[in-house]
Amino acid sequence: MDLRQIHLVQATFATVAADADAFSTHFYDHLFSLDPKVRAMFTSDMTKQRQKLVEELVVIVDSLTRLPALIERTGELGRRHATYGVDAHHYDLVLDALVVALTMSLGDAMSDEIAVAWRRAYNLVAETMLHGAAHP
Amino acid sequence: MTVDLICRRRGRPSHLVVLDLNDLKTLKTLKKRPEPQRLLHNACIATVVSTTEPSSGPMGLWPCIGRARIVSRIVTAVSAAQGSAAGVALVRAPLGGGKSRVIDEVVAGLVAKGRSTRRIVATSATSSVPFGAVAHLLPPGARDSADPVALIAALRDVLAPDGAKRVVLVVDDAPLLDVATAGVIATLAGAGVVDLVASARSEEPLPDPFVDVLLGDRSYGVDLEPMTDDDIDTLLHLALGGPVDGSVMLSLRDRSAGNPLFLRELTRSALEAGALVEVGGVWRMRGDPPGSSRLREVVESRLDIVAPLTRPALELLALCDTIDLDELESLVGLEALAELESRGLLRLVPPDGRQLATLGHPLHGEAIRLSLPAVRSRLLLRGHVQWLEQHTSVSKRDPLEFAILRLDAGLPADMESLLRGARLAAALQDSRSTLRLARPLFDQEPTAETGWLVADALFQTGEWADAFAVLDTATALPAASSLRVDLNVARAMILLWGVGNTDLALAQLDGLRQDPEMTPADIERLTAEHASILVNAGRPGEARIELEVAANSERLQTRLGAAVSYTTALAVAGRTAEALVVIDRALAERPDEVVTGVAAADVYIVAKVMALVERGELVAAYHLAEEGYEQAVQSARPLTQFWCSLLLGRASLCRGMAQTALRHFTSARALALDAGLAGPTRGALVGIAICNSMLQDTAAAEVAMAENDALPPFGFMGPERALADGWIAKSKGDLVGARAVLLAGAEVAEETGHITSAIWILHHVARLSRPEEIVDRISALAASTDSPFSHARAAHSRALVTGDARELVESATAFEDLGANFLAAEAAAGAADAFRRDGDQRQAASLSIRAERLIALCENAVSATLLVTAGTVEPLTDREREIAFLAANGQTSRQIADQLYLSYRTVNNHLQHVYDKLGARGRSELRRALGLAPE
Repeated sequence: MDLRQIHLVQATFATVAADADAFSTHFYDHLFSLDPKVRAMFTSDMTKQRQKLVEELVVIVDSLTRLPALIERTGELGRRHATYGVDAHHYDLVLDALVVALTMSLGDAMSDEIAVAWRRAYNLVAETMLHGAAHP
Repeated sequence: MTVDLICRRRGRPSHLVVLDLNDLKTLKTLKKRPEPQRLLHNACIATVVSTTEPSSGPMGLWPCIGRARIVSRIVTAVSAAQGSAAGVALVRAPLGGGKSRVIDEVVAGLVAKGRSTRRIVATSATSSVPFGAVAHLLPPGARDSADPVALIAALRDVLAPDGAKRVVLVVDDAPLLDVATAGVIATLAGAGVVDLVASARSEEPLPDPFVDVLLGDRSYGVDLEPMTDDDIDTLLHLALGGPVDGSVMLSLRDRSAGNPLFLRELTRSALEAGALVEVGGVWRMRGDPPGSSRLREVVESRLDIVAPLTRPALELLALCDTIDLDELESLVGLEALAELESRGLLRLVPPDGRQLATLGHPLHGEAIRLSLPAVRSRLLLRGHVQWLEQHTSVSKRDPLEFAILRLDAGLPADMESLLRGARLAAALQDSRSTLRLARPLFDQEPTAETGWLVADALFQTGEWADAFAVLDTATALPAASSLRVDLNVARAMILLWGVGNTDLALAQLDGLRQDPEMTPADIERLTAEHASILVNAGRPGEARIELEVAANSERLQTRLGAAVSYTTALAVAGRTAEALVVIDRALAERPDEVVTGVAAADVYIVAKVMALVERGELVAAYHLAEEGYEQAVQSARPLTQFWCSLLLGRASLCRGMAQTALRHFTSARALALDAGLAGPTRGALVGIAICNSMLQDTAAAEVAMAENDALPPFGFMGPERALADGWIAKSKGDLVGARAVLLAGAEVAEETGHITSAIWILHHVARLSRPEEIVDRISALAASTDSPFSHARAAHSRALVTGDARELVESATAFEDLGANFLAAEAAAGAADAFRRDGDQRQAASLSIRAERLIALCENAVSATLLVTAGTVEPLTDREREIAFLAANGQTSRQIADQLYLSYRTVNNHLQHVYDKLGARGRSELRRALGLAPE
């Protein structure tokens, strides 16, 4: 992932964050359609959950250029998610849901290049979360 | 590694030893020591990557990436087993495929689930010794026993003591386990007394007793695949501690074929050799990563398993990539080839082919070449040449390939073929191939042409010094007049881009223009090149007429080459419509096929983007620059990558998106440094300084300008540094100084033909203070251009003079139409103030809302603004503004009075007005009202 891909992620996220509620709704709708069991993992109110998702993404997307800060954040996030019962295969579902939500929010502006950039960014985040989860 | 590292986690010191290691080497060292041995005897061992925060940085960390799903499935499979059925899993992968790391992670996962694990380390040294792998686990008495029944019983007691919780036995490299130990373990697992996790190399057979239990239905088997591109990218990002250029990922992926061990060794050796470097926050590769001796050992151990007589086949394949199967057969015989194939060391290409063979893994070739003495290589290649000459017809051989082969074999090569190849490579702008082909020609018998080919290729790769040396030799040799032009142009280019001495560059061409030998075509080309250098030297005004002539030349190369520089010169003069006509015509006329002397398409795109930005078609410019950038990445042309990044930054800055612009400028700086472009880095640094000032990070802006000042001069867009200097002075509260540097900069810009820059700078002055003093100048300059952006800047300056609300609204609309949202917001806020002053509260409120909406489009609502108007009923006078800034920066009234030659009382009166108008109480509120960062 080079600076340009990081930039693409940050720029497209800024675009979708303009209508954060639509984005997070697409995300969870698709996530639950992939695996209905996932829904039961969320005990809190979904409106709050959607807000939390976007807030977390804001911080993570912003710290893509600052690796140590990112690792600290995602490591902790991964540890926390492990306690909610999140397993490695859930990470694949999330990537899928993320790309679908992006595609729906960006519309015509979505491109293969953007998808690759997001996949790389997500992989970095997911792997460091998994590392955090595996090494509490 | 010392015993100190054996730490206590979760208060279970005697059961869990955590070793911070990436492999088992340390464990083996520990085993040799008496004290840890006792410790290990009772301990369950888990190796983890690191217990602290991963230290990012060059290879401080080499995490296990992309295997979490597999690890999780194995852990689940093993821990789900209950009763008499044991949980069994087998991980298979080729050498270096990452199975030991997966096993480590599985152990960590099992331990986290509260399972006890016991690791059994099998090595080649113990593989033929009965119970060799577990001897150290046995109680001292049993170890020396010759009675197998007693030994088995003792081992059972150790591995599965009665009444204890079931442990998970972990056997890394199971094929190396001695058969006796394997028998005991298989029995225990079969009876459900222990669980078993094992690993094995893909191609190696398992010990007989393991076959049933590990390959049976109840065993969970996993074959590790090579790493994916995404995972390689993530791994390198983490291991190197920062983002990695796409080319690095591709280069390392191709050479490692996704094998984690090879990837690590390649990365490490590339770092050590300085081939992998961080430039401007991104990791890049300079040339090919070298092989390492460790890599050689790893691969050698793999190759050692085959009979020595097969070796020549491997060596020849290492030298030539693909070889005809018949030739290999004649070299080592068919049986030897069959053995190599069955070991995965040789494969056919294409996979179902019959004729051509290649090595099983790219790195095998790497390692073999490293250990191949030079004379032996030559000998093998001679044999290969001979075989080809006897078995293939001349017409079937690629003359260039064959010439290179003969060259490498130390045989006289067909120079004509090499020269043809070098010319073709040069026309394709493939510098590396040009060097490979032209260098031997030049070294053997230097000519002016080969010298030019070598020097130009060296210039493209940024090796200025070498290029100069070659040019010195080549220039002294006889040459046709057109070749002398080539040599001089090459020297001028190095002087311009690398050394940063434009006067010498121009003199280089001027001298030749006087030469009586020059033909009219030569003169035409020299004139066009001279004019192009003038544009880049920051004197586009002087170059325009010459370029106009050249852009209409009858020679295609001259015409197209000049069109690029002519477009640029017209763009910065504000004649943007003409610029677009010229460049569109050139783009249409440019042949698709390769023609010597015609630049790649992305060079034309850069010129077009420049025209679009100066015209104010900011969104179109941005998208085209993105396209150009992509093309440049695909064809590995860092120079165009740099220009596109720079222009992406410029377009973003004009749109008021300081953060995005900063990212592009940062990337441009990295690219310029990497490509050895000394002077042009300045453009990126000025952009970085402006953006940082807008984002209220004055310290970072000053750092960028200090770096800028240490670089050799570069004139193109040079006067725009006044913008950076002006912003920095302003953010320090020095309005007088800011105004002075801006005015001086505008003057230089106008003199040198950077008309749009001059307008940009003067617009800054108008926004800062006393617009009436520059309004005539900016209006006159704008009238000489056809650029809507320049027109909008001049109109805004006029509106600032009159303070007329409607004129300000028109400005806001004009800027908004161009996508210059930050300027539009400023104009709208000014209009809101003007309406409020006129008593029209409804319009004032509506304009304030519009300003807020526009600012929201600029990524960063706290961006500093040059205008100090928003929210004030009555704007500050220029004098009040000057004093306000000084006071906000902590100067006392006495100091301000001294500096501005005013009385103490006058200063205090002005300050009183400032506080009243801004409704501010105290200095921190004053800073906020003035748009300055909090202290």
